[in-house]
Amino acid sequence: MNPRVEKHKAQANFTRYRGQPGGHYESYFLRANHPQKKEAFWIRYTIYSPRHAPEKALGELWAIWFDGHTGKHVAIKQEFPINRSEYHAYHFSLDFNGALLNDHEARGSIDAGGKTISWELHYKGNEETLFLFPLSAYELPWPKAKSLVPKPLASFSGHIEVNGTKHIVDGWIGSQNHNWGERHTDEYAWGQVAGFDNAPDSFLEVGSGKINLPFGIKTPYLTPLVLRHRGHEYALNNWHEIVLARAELNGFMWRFSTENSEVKIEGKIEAKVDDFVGLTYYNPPGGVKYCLNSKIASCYLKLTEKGRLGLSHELYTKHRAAFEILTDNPNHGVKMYI
Amino acid sequence: MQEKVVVLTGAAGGIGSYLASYFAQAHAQLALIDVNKERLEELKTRLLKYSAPLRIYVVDQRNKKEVFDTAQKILEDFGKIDILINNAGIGFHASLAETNLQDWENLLAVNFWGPLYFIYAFLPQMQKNGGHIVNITSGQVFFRIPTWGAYTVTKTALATFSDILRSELRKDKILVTTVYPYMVNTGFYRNIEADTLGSELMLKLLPLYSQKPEKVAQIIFEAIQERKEVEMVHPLNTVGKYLRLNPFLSQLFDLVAFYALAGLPSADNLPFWQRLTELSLLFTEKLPPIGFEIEEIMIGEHEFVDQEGKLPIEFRVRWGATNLFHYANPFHPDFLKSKLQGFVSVGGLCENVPCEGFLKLNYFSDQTIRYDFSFTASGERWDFLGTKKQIYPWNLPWSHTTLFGELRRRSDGKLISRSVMHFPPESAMEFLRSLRFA
Repeated sequence: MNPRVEKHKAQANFTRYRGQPGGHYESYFLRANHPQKKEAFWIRYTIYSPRHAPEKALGELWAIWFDGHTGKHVAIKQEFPINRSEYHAYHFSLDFNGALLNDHEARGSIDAGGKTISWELHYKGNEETLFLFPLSAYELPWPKAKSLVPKPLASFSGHIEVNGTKHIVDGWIGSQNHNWGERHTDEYAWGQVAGFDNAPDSFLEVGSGKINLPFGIKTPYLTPLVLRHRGHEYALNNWHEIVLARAELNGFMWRFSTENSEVKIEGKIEAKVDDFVGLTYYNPPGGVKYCLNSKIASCYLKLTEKGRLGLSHELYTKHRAAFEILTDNPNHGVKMYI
Repeated sequence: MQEKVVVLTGAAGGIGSYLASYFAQAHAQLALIDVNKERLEELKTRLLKYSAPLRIYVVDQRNKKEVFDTAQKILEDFGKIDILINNAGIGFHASLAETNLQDWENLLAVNFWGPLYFIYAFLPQMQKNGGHIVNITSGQVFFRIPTWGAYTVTKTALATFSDILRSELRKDKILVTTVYPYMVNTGFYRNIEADTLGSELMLKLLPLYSQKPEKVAQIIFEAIQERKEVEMVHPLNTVGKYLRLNPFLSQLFDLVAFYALAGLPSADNLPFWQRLTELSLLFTEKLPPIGFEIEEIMIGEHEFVDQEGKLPIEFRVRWGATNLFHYANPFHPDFLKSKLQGFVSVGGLCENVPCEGFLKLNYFSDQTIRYDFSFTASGERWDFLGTKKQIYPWNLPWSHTTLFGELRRRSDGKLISRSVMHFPPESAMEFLRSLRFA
């Protein structure tokens, strides 16, 4: 029993927003994929507080229904003053303008711009909290943006109603996630797979971020990766592993490769342009970021165990990967929904 | 390990239960032996989650017939054995002059004859098929510390037997491993009464220099996996072993050890101790006692064991001592123990109800801080036991600020909920300002 790890697990979903004047964003999101079909949902509860103006803080509700068969995705967002949001520093229970979220259920609806999405979901899972970064990253001011997965491989049941069409959610596998920070990472690609097609109990969380330095210099991609596979957690997220990992983003195809003394993991996550939904995120220091969001991407992963005569495992999913790209470039080519 | 049948004696004790856990995780087939039926059954329940095939046998290993009958039963149940671990043993603390013959007989029966019975009971089968015998002796073999004489003799006998057996059984493809645990912080030392200042200090400070049973079990498990002939467990045992080779250093060590542990009079008879006691009386009786009080908040989440979903939990309590001298005196019963009272809110059960109990800082025994209080809600009495765990200087920011709690109903002792609570950093100043001396 390591009290440091246990403390971080217990606090994984506590709200970090305290009206910080330096700016803050904080998101709780749920996502899951249909067991067979190319369909997925993404529901996000967000606090946005601009730098030097905490009085202008907002609560936000986001929802996307991904339909990979027709390409007719539905995305919707609602904003409201922060005082219509309830959250707690030492207990995970949100009430955002009537939309509820806690450690086992989510209920709410958004009605905006002539579109509606409502959800009534129950979720559960026995997996331990997954930390994308080393624990020190959650204790220190840097990195400015923190991310973790309190409930990986969560099983969802209930329903989502999209513009009057009810979709039954029965045993969809996904995750409950939490991220926060003073500002968004300047540029990133993020991926997650909750159950591969050929390894339904495996879970991948990976990100590649670039950070702006003074004089217009950017860091290369910094890539933490955590893979849970066959009862083992391969956490390639020490600071030196993050720096030494390689990543490349070409359009909507992201390749990464990382290793330590135990294992080498190479992967590719990609999606068609039509499988993305373009979103506009407010950035607490000012300006906006474009989030190109797909929850029906493909992922291929090769894991080579160095200590076992180079035995390798290949994991893949055709359309169950989450793939997000955050960019400042407005000419990204993805249809903007919000 | 999946194919191996492992017989483990003393399985329900400190090192034994952790060893059993390691072998169960490795999916070995386990024959777990102990004299304590209740604890053996508890262990079996704890190990069920590993789905390892296991059986338990209640045996008093002083009884030759019981041991041989059990060995026969194990061979019938499992068909063979691969590894025999002679782990069971008892401690004994007294000078040789004060050790009576009955003590000797009992010690020899458990620590020497018991392992021999098991070895001879399984030897015919092992001589046919090969095997591995592991004898857990003691680092005392090298130190031969005064007041531990009888215990050391039994363990030295077992160690010597083990070493000779190794040479003799090599031809039968039987490996014999001798293990020398260093001082292990288990119940082993709990019943020992210290009658000198040296032995009192030795026992008081045990957690600071001893090894934890889980660590020792891990070392032994790995030594068995690596098929080592000798496992020294701790570097100090190696130091002790080579100390014995140098007559001058060896005698010097014995002299110092004897003076420290047996030569010094009882603490109560030492002049400076008497002065200290007088000083204590001056503080406690002639001067008004100096006490302190501080207010602490802990806040977090709890979950009822039979209901899904976490709920908030919080308490605000004042704790302190009426006599700081007693509180800071390691030899006083109230050492680092204080009364506690305040208010507690438990989501789904009660809000801001009065609570009272004790707070005990067990820094030097099991590295915990315990919040033990009770309260009344919904017409019932409830007992809360919260523990801050693994308190070490290097992890204070986490260990001191995180409380793992269990709530039980007083009437039937049933566990109702589990919680994790935190000391809110924003309350740190309020906490410090609340300190009052009286």
